[in-house]
Amino acid sequence: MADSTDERARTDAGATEWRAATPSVVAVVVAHEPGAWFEETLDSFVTQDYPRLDLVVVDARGDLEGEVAIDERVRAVAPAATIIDAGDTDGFGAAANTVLETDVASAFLLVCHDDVVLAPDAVSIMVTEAIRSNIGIAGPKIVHWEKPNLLQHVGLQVDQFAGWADVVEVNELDQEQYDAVTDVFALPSACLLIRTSLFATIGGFDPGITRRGDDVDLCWRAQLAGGRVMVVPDATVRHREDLRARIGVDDIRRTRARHQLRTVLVTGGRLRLLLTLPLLALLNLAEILIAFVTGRFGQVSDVFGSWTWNLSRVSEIRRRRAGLRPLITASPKDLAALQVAGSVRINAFLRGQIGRGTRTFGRDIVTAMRTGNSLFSAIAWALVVMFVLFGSRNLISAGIPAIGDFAAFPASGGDLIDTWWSSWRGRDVGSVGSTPSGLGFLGVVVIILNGSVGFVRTLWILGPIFVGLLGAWRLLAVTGSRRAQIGTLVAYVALPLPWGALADGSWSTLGMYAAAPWILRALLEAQASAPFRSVSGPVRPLPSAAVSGGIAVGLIGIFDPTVAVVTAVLSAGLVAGALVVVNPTGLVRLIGGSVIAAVTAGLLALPFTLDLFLNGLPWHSFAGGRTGSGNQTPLVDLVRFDVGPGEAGLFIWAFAVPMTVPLLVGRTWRFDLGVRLWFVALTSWALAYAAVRGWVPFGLPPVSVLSGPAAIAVAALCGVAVSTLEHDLRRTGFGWRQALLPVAGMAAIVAVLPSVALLESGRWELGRGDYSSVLPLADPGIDGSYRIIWIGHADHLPAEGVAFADGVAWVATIDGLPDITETSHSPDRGAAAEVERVLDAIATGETSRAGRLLSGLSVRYIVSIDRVAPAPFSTDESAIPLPEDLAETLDTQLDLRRLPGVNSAARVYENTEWIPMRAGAVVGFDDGIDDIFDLGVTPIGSTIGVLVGTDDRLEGMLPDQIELVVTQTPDDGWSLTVDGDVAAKRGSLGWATSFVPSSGGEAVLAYETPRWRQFVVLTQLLMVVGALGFVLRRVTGAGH
Amino acid sequence: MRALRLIASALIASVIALGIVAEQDERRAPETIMVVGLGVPDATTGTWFCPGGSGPGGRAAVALELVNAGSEPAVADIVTVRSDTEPGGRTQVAIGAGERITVAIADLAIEAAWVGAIVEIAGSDVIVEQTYDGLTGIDRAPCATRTAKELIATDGATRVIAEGEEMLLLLLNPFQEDAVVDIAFDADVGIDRLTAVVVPARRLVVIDVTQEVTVATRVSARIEAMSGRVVGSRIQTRTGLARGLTVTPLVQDGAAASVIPSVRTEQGLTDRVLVTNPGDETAEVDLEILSDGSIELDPVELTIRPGRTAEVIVAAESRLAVVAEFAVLARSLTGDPVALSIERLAAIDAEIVPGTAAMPGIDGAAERWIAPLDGISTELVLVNPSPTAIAKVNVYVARPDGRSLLATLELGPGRRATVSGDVLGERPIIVVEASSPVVAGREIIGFTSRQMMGAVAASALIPIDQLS
Repeated sequence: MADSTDERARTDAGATEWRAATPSVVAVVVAHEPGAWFEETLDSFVTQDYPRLDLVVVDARGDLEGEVAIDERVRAVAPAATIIDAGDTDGFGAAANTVLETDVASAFLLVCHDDVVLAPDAVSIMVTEAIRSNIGIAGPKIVHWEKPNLLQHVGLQVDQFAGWADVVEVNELDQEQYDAVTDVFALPSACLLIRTSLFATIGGFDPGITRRGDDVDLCWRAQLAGGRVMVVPDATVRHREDLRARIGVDDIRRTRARHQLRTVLVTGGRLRLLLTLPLLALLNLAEILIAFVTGRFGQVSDVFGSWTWNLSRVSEIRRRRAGLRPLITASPKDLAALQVAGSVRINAFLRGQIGRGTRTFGRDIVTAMRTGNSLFSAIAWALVVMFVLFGSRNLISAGIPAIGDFAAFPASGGDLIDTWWSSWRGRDVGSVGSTPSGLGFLGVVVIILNGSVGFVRTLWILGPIFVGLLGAWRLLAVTGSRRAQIGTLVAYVALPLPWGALADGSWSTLGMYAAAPWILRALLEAQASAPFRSVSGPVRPLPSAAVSGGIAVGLIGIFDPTVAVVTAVLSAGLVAGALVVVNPTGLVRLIGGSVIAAVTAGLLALPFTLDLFLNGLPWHSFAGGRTGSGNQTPLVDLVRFDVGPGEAGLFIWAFAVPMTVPLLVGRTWRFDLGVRLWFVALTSWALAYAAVRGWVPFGLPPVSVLSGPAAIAVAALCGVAVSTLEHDLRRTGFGWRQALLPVAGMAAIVAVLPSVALLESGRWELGRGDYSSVLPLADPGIDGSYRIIWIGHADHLPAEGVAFADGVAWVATIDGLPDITETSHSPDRGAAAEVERVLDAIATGETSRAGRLLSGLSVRYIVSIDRVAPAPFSTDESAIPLPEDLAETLDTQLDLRRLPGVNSAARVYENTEWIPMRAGAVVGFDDGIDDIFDLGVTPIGSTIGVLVGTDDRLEGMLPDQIELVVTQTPDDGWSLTVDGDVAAKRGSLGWATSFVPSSGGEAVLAYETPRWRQFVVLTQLLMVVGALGFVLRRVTGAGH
Repeated sequence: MRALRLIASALIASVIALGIVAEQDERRAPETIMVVGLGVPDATTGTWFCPGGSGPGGRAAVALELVNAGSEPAVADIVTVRSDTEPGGRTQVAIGAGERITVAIADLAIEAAWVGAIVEIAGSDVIVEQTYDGLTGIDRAPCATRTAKELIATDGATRVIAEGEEMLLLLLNPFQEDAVVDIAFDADVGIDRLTAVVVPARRLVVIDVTQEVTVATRVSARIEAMSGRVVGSRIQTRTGLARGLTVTPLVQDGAAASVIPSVRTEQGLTDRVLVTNPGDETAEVDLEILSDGSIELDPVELTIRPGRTAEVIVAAESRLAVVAEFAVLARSLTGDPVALSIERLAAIDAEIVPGTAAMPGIDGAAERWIAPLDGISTELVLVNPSPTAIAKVNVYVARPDGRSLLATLELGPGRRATVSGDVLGERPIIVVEASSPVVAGREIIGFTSRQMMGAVAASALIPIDQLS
């Protein structure tokens, strides 16, 4: 007994001696509404084998009524613990910093979350190592709470943008593979051992960083101040890490983006920021684009908001920078050596640490990593995105002029929504019909983005390219060959089609470019031939595949219905291919799928579809003012997609090499798919060629749209070629086939070269200016609103035209160039036939009083344009002048005055007899005028312009004793009230409306959209939302 | 697999080959809008440009004659165009069916030295002509229904002292923007040029060629509009051996083929056929002789240098003397347009009615023509310029109470026929209707003057070189 007592006494004496030699540690546990595990956490501190450990619990929430107070829970486990009330602080860092306000005199602080459990020897191991290695901040190996055999954190990788990611993989098994003491750039704040002096010197955590990023910021500043950051894996800590569930807010992305930028701004030197900030901005822009394309609009807002959040705190950031400067002892080089090159975030994304299990796109890339092609995939995507962004740099920075389909947007998102909601179409001479529903959605996006009309317009124009590229990437995903996907992607971006479309201002072509890969994929899935069929059957049920195709058509079709033609071309091509490869089952499925897709697309574009049926399925909405007459575009230009002002060159023919590879050496599904894709391309080219030769008796969409399906077929053939080279070449014996690999490789490089040459201008040769600044059109506010008739080749008009002669189309707009709401046709054309009667009379030389006739239509100007953009922003070579005879008849009108000094790309005739669209006229002004052509001998007398504007609700003063003649298609929806009294109305001029108010006064001329039309629009809205949900489910993988 | 590969490859290659073969075919040019732009007036347009003449007491006092050959009354809107800066006047005139009304446009342009007019009429049965009364004679000429960028006066003379010859050009710009023209003269005394002559919007400009090119026995003028478009006429007065006033519409643009309906070899008459080549290449022109079929004559072959005028004095071509009267079809073998006209002089001492007359060639054929006649001896001349078609022609007289058939005749290809109007009383309105396009002209002989002119087309015109 005595022996034992002596031995205990010796042990106690030894312990006291050791205790006196060890530095003191204060464990700072920041508690914020901890759960039931908290006692276990506290107990792990109490049971530490480290002798000089004091416990401080920082109550970051403060006492709440009805709950057990923190101090009671602490006292129950650790009676000696000190409790600090930090209820007035916000965030972990600020709460932890409160320890500095006490007279803490320990050598180390052990700052911990309230959801960690330390191994009993954790503190002693860390302190020992900290002393041995002179560590400023030490961190343990952190494992999962429930499964301690799974690693959670062993330090953090950080890049120059303050982006961070774990060193370990998600759910990586702890096999002691990280059990070496290592320098790291940062450690997670779950458990940090930090020298108290260092912590005090750098001011603790950044109180402006509430959560996420506080640890990176702390470690970064510690290192700048000369501190060393190391992970000590022998010390282990279990960690719950479920912050999102605890705080009930999923703000990971937002806080991460904000705090990352803040750290960069605070820690970076001035010179370094000059490089880092633009790169970070570029990365953020790419993230925004990808997020937008994949429908993650919240991410767009979060990333964009990180800049505004930091900009609003510039003075605070400046103060912190100033405070940090005197402390810096480490050189930037030393820090850079510990940082990860490139972007940690991109690496983590590719490795699946971000987006795993939530994003199909991410999963694709994760899979790519595992198949060994990850780096190649990442590089390919990076190059493709950079190619598009760099090639579009001037369009992004300087804005996109209103050329061709790229019409200007209205002043606000509200205007876009109003136009969508109203069924009155002002273009031409007015009609009732649906506005493209996509405009309404663009309006919503504008509002979401805080009125950034210009930004949304840029997205509207450039976005389809990324959508198309994403579609091309996914087209051959089913093959499992990432190289095939890359081949398709690179070929699709290297074809000159989208860049020619941009140069020509053809959104229809861009829309087609976006939709074609998705539609093709859906149709191939519907056809369910290999590789879109596994041993267990089709990879996707027919209805699902067909509905996907329909949604792709519908979502682009709500902006531009001509994309429907693409579906027909693709289906026809696949049918032809299926016949050749003898695939009757697939044929039936394909036809069925096409029908379902067409119905789905029709439902999504419901108001437009309904208008089509109500108006007898008119074709003009798809023809865009083309008559079916031929032109001089040579076949070779069609085949090489040479649709823009630039020259595609000879190198583009190199695509022919990979295109023939599946035919020559492909086996099984690669040969079948190759044949089917060939027939898609041939069908597309054949239709386009028939159009340019004038073999089709009716108008068709632009040639660039018609040849669009060929583009995705060519790109997919390149992808199939890659797959063929992967699988089939090695099965062949030594011979000529072996030469295909280097030849195809060389051809691919050569084929891409022409596109690289397009990068020079930074705007894909799109003109730098538009007609808005060169046409001397009068201010409608002076004499009243007027119409302008634009005539010229359909490809050059500022809106979709209607043909009235071979190669000549017309469109009428109000008060100037059309905006996006006026560019497309309504199936109902109202009284547009009146304009065509007059134009026919002019064209055939039947009248020399065109001005008088057009006065009945309130046409003040006839503008003939022969190029898509004015000089000098377009070349003479691209000009298609007005036919001489037509120009002559315009020149010889007695009441049209050709305005002098107008840009060489346009001729502007002013009608000297015009009357305003809403004109006050003396009673009986139209006596004896029963038809427009009566105006030839009986012109309208003097009138005054009133109620100026283009809206469907106009207000203004109306003088006494006049009638209000409104020269637009009559419709019961229009009414005039003067001082609250509804004015009578009657027909006038044989086609227009005249309101007869009883007296003058405050007048309101307004159009009321029929309720049933609004119901249809709402129904469509629901269907589009449903379709978007369907797409999101597919993209996020929930649909699998 | 191998068979399928061969079939598929062959099919794809075949489609590509088809495309290549198809590409070898010539492209169909887009159909252009057919607006017939001929010099001959066309009543279907309804708008008339009258270069006019002088005010009362001037060298060629002008009035308008509106002729309604239809069965419905019509209203004409007349706006005068002056040579000075005063605004023009405007009036509306009603013309009853089958009526001819004279409008003194000088009354709408008081104190204007020169006055023209723009007349607008709804309906294709009303035509507008100008009548002239001067110290040296009288004349009439149809107004134009089309403006042009190039006008040609094939002949004129400016020997004021020796022959009392004076030549004027009247240029009218009916449009709302100014026109600027260059005028090139080619005379036997040399060439001359006037550049940048401004014809203001809605104004009439008079060029006194006598002052520009003096003492020229023969002068032709080519007017080229640098901007804008104009119409014009030539006023030629003579007081020497042949005394007379001729007001002739300027030839518009020229044509590859055009017709002079009436050329005579009669004793005392001097008919000169003039062909001007306004182009930049030498023109080879055949003057085909179209007669009533009694005799066939070889054409007169001309080679005309650029910018020059060839003159054929009919009396000097002895082989033509076998035909008393015939038509001339000038056909440009190279297809380049040339301007054709005829000048006729009847000396005072001859035993026929003296005077001068001139008319430009008629470059279009139509199935319907309107020809108001006048004078003591009138003749309607019909020519079928088609190389193949036989035209059955009905000639009517339009009166307020309706129209009556005057004659029916059949014209073979390349044949010419005349219908006398002497028995029709005063100022008949002749309407010609043919089963295929023909050309109609008029010869009017008064007591002291002679006039030659084409009729006015009242249906679609077809260029003569396009007749089959």
